This record gives sequence, C-alpha cells and structure tokens, in this order.
Amino acid sequence: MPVGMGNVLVLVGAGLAVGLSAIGAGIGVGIAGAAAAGVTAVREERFGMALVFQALPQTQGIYGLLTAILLLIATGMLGGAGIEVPLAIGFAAVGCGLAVGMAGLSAIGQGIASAAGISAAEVDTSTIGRSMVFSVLPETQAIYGLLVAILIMAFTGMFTGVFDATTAVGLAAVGCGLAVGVAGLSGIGQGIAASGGIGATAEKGEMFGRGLVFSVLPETQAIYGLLVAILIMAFTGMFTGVFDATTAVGLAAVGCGLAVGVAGLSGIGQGIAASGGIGATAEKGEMFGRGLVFSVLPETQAIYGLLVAILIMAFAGMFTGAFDLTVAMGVSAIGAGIAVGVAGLSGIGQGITAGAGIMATSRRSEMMGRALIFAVMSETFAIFGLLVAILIMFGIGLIGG
Amino acid sequence: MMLLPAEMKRALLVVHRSYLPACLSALHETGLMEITDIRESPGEYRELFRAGERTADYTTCTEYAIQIDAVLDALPPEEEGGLLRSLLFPSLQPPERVDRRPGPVLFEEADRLITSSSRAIGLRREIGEIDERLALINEWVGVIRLFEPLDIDLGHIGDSPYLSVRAVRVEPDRLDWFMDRLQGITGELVVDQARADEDYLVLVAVTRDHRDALLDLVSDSRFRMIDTGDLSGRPGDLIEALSREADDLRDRQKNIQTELYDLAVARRRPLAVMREEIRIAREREEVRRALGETRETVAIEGWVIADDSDDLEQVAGTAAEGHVICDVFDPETNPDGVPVAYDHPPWLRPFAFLTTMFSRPRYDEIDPTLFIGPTLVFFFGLMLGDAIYGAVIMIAAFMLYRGAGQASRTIGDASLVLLAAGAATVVWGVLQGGYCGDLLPRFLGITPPLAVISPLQGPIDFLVLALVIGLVQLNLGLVLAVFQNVRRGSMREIFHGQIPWFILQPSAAILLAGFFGWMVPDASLSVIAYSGAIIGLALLFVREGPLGFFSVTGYLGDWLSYARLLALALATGGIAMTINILAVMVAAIHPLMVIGAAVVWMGGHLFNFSLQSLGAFVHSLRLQYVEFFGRFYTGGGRAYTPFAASREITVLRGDE
Repeated sequence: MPVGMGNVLVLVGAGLAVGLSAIGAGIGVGIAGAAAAGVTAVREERFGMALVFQALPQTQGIYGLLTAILLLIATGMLGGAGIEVPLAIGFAAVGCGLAVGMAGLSAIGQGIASAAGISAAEVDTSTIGRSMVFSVLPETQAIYGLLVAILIMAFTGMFTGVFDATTAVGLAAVGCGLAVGVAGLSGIGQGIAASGGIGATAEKGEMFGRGLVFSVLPETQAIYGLLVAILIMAFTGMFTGVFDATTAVGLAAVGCGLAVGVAGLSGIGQGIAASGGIGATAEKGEMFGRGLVFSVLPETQAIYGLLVAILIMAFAGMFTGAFDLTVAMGVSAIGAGIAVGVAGLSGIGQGITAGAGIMATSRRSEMMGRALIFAVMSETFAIFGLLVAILIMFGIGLIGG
Repeated sequence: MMLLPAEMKRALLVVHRSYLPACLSALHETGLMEITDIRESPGEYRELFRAGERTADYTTCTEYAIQIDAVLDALPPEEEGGLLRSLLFPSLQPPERVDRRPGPVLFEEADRLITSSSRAIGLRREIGEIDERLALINEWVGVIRLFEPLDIDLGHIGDSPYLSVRAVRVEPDRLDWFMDRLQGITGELVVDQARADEDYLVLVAVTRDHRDALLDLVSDSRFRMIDTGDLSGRPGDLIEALSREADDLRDRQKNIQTELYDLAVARRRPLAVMREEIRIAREREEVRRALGETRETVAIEGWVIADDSDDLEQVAGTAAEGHVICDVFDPETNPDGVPVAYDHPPWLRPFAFLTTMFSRPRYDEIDPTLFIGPTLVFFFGLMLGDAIYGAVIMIAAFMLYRGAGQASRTIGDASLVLLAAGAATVVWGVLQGGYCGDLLPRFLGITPPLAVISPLQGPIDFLVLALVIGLVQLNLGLVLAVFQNVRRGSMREIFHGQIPWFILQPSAAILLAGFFGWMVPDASLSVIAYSGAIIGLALLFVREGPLGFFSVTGYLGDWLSYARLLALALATGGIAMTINILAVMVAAIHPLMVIGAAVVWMGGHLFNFSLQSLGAFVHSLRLQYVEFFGRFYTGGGRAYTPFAASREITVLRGDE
C-alpha cells in the first residue's frame, strides 16, 4: 500500500473524527451515567428510562466512527487495494475529521442535559418527553459537523473515487472543519441552558416554550460556524467544481475557520447566562424579555468572529473571484483569525456576569442598567481581539491595498 | 383594529337586590365583563357602598365540591387508550344539557346524588383493608414456612409459667458460636434446628429462670428473633387456613370491584356534571365579596371590552327586568391598570399564544401577533423547506384537528398553526426542490420542477435572501416603534431610538458597497453617506454614551442572525441528502441489504424530520422574540379575565 503524505493525512483525519468525538461522547455518557446510577439506586424501575437518556450523547461517537470508516473506504484503505491519495484529499480528510470530531465534543453538553433529564424523571415520569426534547438540542452541533464532513467528501470526489481537489481546496476544507467543528463546542453551552430548561419545566410545565427559546440561543455560534463553512465551500469552488483559488486563499480560509470557530466558544458563556435567564423567568414570568437581553450579550464575540471571517473572505478576493493574495497574507489571515477567535473566549466570562446580572435584575428591576454595564466589561477583551485582527489585516495590506 | 389590544371601558352596574342572582347568572354565562373589587375602585362612589360578604351558600358549595371529589376519587379511573389514541381518536361526548335552577334546588339534587353514590367510598375503603389483610397473610405465610421442617405448634413459642421458647434465625457461619453461647446460659435447655433458606432456624426452650439471659443473647443484632405473634397450630394447618382466607378475600375484592365499576358507569358522568355545576355556583357566590351593597341595591364594577358594552347593557337589563342602572365610561389615563384583551379576527386567534408566551402587550402597546404569526409560519417553511416533510406535518395536523382539536380549543388552535406551518413547508419545499432531500434526482433521476432557489446549489443567493428578509423585518420593527412613540408622544425617543438607524442603514450600505468594491459611489454620494454615518452615530452616542458602540454591534448581530434561515434550510436538505447517500451505500453492500437500507432511510428521515422541525420552530420563534421584538416590544400587560362560567361538559338548556 502506498504511504504518501496524502494517505497519512487521511489517517490523521480519521483519527481526529473518531478520537475527538469519542472524548466528547465518553465524557457526556459518563456525566449522564453518573446521574443514572444515582437515580437507579433509589428507583430501580427507572433503569430503562435512564439508559435511553444515557444513549443520547453516544450518537456523536457514532458520527465520528461513521466518518472515519467513510474516509478509510473512500481512500481504499479499508476494503480496497489502497491507492496513492493526493495531498489535497489528505487535507480535506483532516477538515472532515475536525468538523465531526470537534463538533462531537458537543456530547459533553448533551450529557449535562441528559443527566438533568434523568434526575427530573426520578420524581415524575411525565417530564420524560419534554426533557428528551431539551436533551436532543446539543445534537444539532454534531449534525452540522457531520453535514460539513459529508459535503467535503462529496465535493472532493471521495464518494465516487474520482478525487478532484487542489491544495487550496484541501486547506479550505480544513478551514470549514475548524469553523463548524470548534464552533460546535457551543453545544456545551446549549447543554447547560437545556439542563436549566429541564429543571424549570419539571417544576412548571408551562416553562417549556420559554425554556426552549433560551436553550437555542447558544446554537447561534454553531450556525455562524456552519455559515462560514458553506461560504468557504462556495467561494473556493467546491459547489461548482471550478478550483481556481490559490494556496494563499486556502490559508485565508483556515484563518476564517479559526475566527468564527474559536469565537464560537462564547456559546458556553451564552449557555450559562441563558440558564440564569430560565431560572429567573421560572420565578418571575416578566423576566423573560430582560433575560433574553442579557443572554444574547455573549453572542457579540461570535459576531466579531463572523465579521473578521467575512472581512478576510472579502479581502482575499473570495467574493469577486480575484485571487491575488500572497502566501504571507494568507498566513497573516490565520493570525487575524486567532486574535479575534481566541479573544472571543471572553464570552464565557461575560456569560457568567450576565447570568448574575439576570438574577440581580430579577431581585430589583432598577438594577438592569448597571448590571448591563458590568456584563459588557468582559467584552473589552473581545474588542481588543477584533482591533488586533483588523490591524493585522491593515498591516499586511489586506485592507487598504 | 388588530394592531392594538381591544379598547376597554369601565362599567358600573347597580342592580336591585332581588334581581342580583339572575343578573350575576346572566353575566357569568355570557362572560361579558371582568368584575373588580369595588373596595379598590378609583371612583369616589365607592364610599356609597359597603363591601359584600361571603354567603352561606358559598360554604355549602365548597362542602359539596369536597364530597363529590371524594366519591369520584373512590370510583375506578376511566380507561385511557394511550396518548396517540387520545390525540387522534378521543372519545367525544356531547355536553350534558342542564337547567337553570336556584341554589336550594341544586343543593338538594347534589345531596341526593352524593347519598346514592357515597357507598363507593366505603367500598374503596374495604378494598384497601383487604389489600392490607392480604399483605399481612402473605407475610405470615412466609414466617410459617420457616417452621415447616420443625413441624411444631407455633402456639408453644413464647412464655409459659415454666418455659420460655424462642425461634432465632442464625447465619450458618455464626451457628457454632451461637450454640456455645446458649450452653453458657444454662445446661438445661432444649434445642432444635433446621435450615431456613440460607440460614438456620434455631428453636430454643429454657426454663423461665433463664428467660432474660436468653432474650439478652438473641437481641444481639447479629441474630434475628422470629416473631410469630398470636399464631397457633402446626405450620401445614396454618398455611392451609390462611390460604383459604386469602382466596375468600380475593373473591370478595373482585365482587367489590365489579360493584364499583357498575357504580362508576352509572354515576361518574352525573357526578362530573354536578361538580361542574357546583363549581360554577360557587364562583357566583365567591364574586359577591367584590360587590358593593346598599340596603336595596348591589353595585357590580369592572371592565368590559368597548365593543361588548351594548351587549352588556342589554344582557343586564333583560336579566334584571329593567331594575338596573348601567354606566359604561372611559378609564383613567394611566394604562397600567387596564386589562388587555386581544382583538383578533378568527384566522389570527390561534397565533395569540405566541405573543402570550413572550408577554402580553401593555394596554397602550402594539399587539405584535399580526406580525409574528404569519412570519413564524413563513420562516418555519423556509427553514424546513421540504415538500414531503411539510405534507407529513399537514396530515398530522389535520388528524389532530379532527381528533383532540374538537375537544380542546388549545389543541385545535395548535393544529391550525401546524397546518399552516406544514403548508408553508410544502410551498418552500417545492421552491427549494426538497423532497426528502435530493430524493427525486438521486433515486428517480427527476429534476425537481419549480425549484427556484436551493440552499445547497445556491447558498449565496439564499444567504442574500435571508439577509434581505432580516432587513425587512428589522425595519418593520423600527417603523412599529415609530408608530408607537408617535401615539405616546415620545418624539425624543424617535429621534434617538429609530431615526439613527434609518440614517445609518443606507449610509453604511453605500460605504460598505464601496469598501468591498461592489460599486464605486461618486463623490457627492460618498459625502452624503459619510455625513449620514456620522450624524446617525452621533445621535446614538449622545443618548447612550460609549455604550452606543454596543448598539451598533447589537444591530449588526441582529441582522446577521437572520443567516440562520440559510443554515437551518441547509441542514435539513444536507442531512436528508446524507441519509439518502448512506441508504444507497448500505444497499450496495449486498442485495439483501436493501431491507437494511430501507430501515436506515426511514429511521434517518424520521430523525431528521423531528430534529429539524423542532429547530425550525424554535429558531423562528427566536427571530421574533430576540431580533424583531428588540426593536419595539416589551410587553407586561395584565390579561383580561372576564367573569365567565367555563362549561366543559355541560350546556345550559336554551344556550345550545
């Protein structure tokens, strides 16, 4: 069997897919299992129900395994003669692995929600249906990851065996994987919010609708990740099969993926805030609107990430198809992506403050203005990240010629 | 006008005391008025009335309600046919026709019904006692079986004038130690032993002198003394006698259950009907505390929907045969205390719950239902975008409407919303070419007809569509905010809250188009755009200070948030395509795997349908609540709760 760099990267991609998603699924199943053991010790008859909830975060592991097997079959390394895989396809496989594997870490959030579902059903089995709806929410991130991986495979000819990709497209696929995969970690935030929703709904059934609205807030980060992945695919010709993007553009796509993907971790903060919002709304119905205002604050980091990703695309010529970027500029775009992406982690701090702000406002409504000021303080660091990203783009001539 | 909540009026009815029951009954049955406590009335006339008092009939109603509940609880529950069956094929019984009758007549009927049904309570109690007795017999039989190998009369166990006999359960590895300790008490003892399950049952007889020493030994927590109570006789005889008793008890229990079932068939419905009538009668008595009284008259004060005020005057006049003064007038200017009723045409009514879920509008605020109801359906269809999925929703909604929708208005409304959402999904599915994803081209080789925009084939066009929709909805929100502020006379709010966005948006559009190279604006246009941007930002920052920056990022975020319309449409189509690809791959493994492929296909699409339907609904709702409402809506109004008899299983004769 030929072992070129392309083949090695395919193996790395398969490993990332199954390994990372196994970490997520393992932790998620573990969290749910701990709750299941506790509940079953008291109520033996809840065993079957607990097992169903515990199985929910396993699906991320299955998606990882499925992707790994598809990659190995597509490149003839499983059930085939083995063929020399081009480097571009190797990069594409890494993109698939990152998309499914990183997004598979959303299983941790699903495990948190499932554990809450198991605990709620200990007392009252009528909560099972509603808890199940909340618990499947963090699956969306994993599905987006799987979707992008399948699209990459389809567009690079992995299903037909007629490989059709350039190195630029391969690197763009890595960018897609980072965008949708890392942003998929927002599933942890969604799980935190969903577990709050399960608790509130178990106490007050009428909280179901409002709890759902809060719980889907941290999905926005994943949606931005998916959006950027699709835009990268569209602009690098994956949909049309016209591969005229340069390697530098592929590197810029990696920068886009880092910007929107890592900034998507702000979804964890959003989940913490949304969970507080659910608690406050369950206590006082009129807190719903105010809770939403606080809970969407940590979304700004994701918007900065999306903004930088779109700017990079615009200045890399992706909108117009005029690809005159140098490799140095492409690498610098990665720096810009890291700046705004990693600074976006400040969203977690903002979420913690926003959650406390919701509680303070619930206690004294006139606290809202001051609590909002406390909450936006953390955003200063995200603005620093945005500023440095824009300065990098100016410095290398990406903006302003 | 459905743009605002229904116009409300204050109403004051002064009725002659002798016509009060008829008047209250008419108001209750028609539900034309919300009655408020006259002691909290803003009108000075409240001083003329003394507060109403709780009547004796109220207490009587409460007592009968408790008794009826006790009888109904004693009757066996109605058989339920599972959730799906109750939703799709509920057993619909026509409401029971009842006559208007005065309190004493109603109470006499209730009394007769309760008396003739109350033996259900005794029968239910007897069933409980039999259960307890059976549990006790079961426990005794377990104990007696331990003595079967020894075959002694259990009556010997205990204390007699000369002997003390005890049965002790001992684990096998402690047996020798136990025997040694027994010998330590006295040499004059009789011991017998036999296996009892895993352990040994040791029967010890000592003289009365050594009773306390024996009890000390067996009270050790490592052994378990068997208590045989008053049991007397040999194990075999005892077990036979107890088994006979248990059989008799079970027969008796079966007979009681049959009797209870027959009683339930005959009496459950009349009891439920009476419970509803007593509840309604109680509500009428309860409301009297909110009324004002003089020697000859009673005052009823509250809120009425302006359009209902003529009906109110007519209903009260007819019931009191003209012995009533009805005054309907405008409320005070403060809108906070005014209750809010929706003013919706029948087609919009099912969507009202969407507004209520967020918060009912204040009395002086726009009612957003007209905007969010149809938009939610439109967004749902756009995001799910699959004709077959939409058809499934429509069929399910139709069945739900014909089933539980006929019995429950809430379910009926929800099924109509679902039907509309399904229809929108079919339309958008056809326009997007989605039929279980790419089913048509992949399996049948058919290019979907009428497909004009596809999230997978043309994501950029779809994104542009999503963002345009976003701009339209956000600006609609701003226009509504202007309308609201004009009504309130808050011109300053318009100046700083909405006008900056109307200036900033076109200015930013020109500057960004130039920046990205999509157009080359001429010099004068650039100057206008730059000036507009500066003025717009200045207006924002003057009011909000540095936090104005977050308003800009917030607006941008709200706009970009509409990109989720593309993302969810893409996810539905993309995952459906993935399932189709997987089904083909499974089928290609072996001819027999076609069955496996069918399972993968069905299961996969069911999963995708469920998850994406949930996503489409919740994300549509989010766009209304977060992005759209953020422009103009806060809510916080108090619901209008008319004094209305809620009849679920009864109908007044003449009102059918």
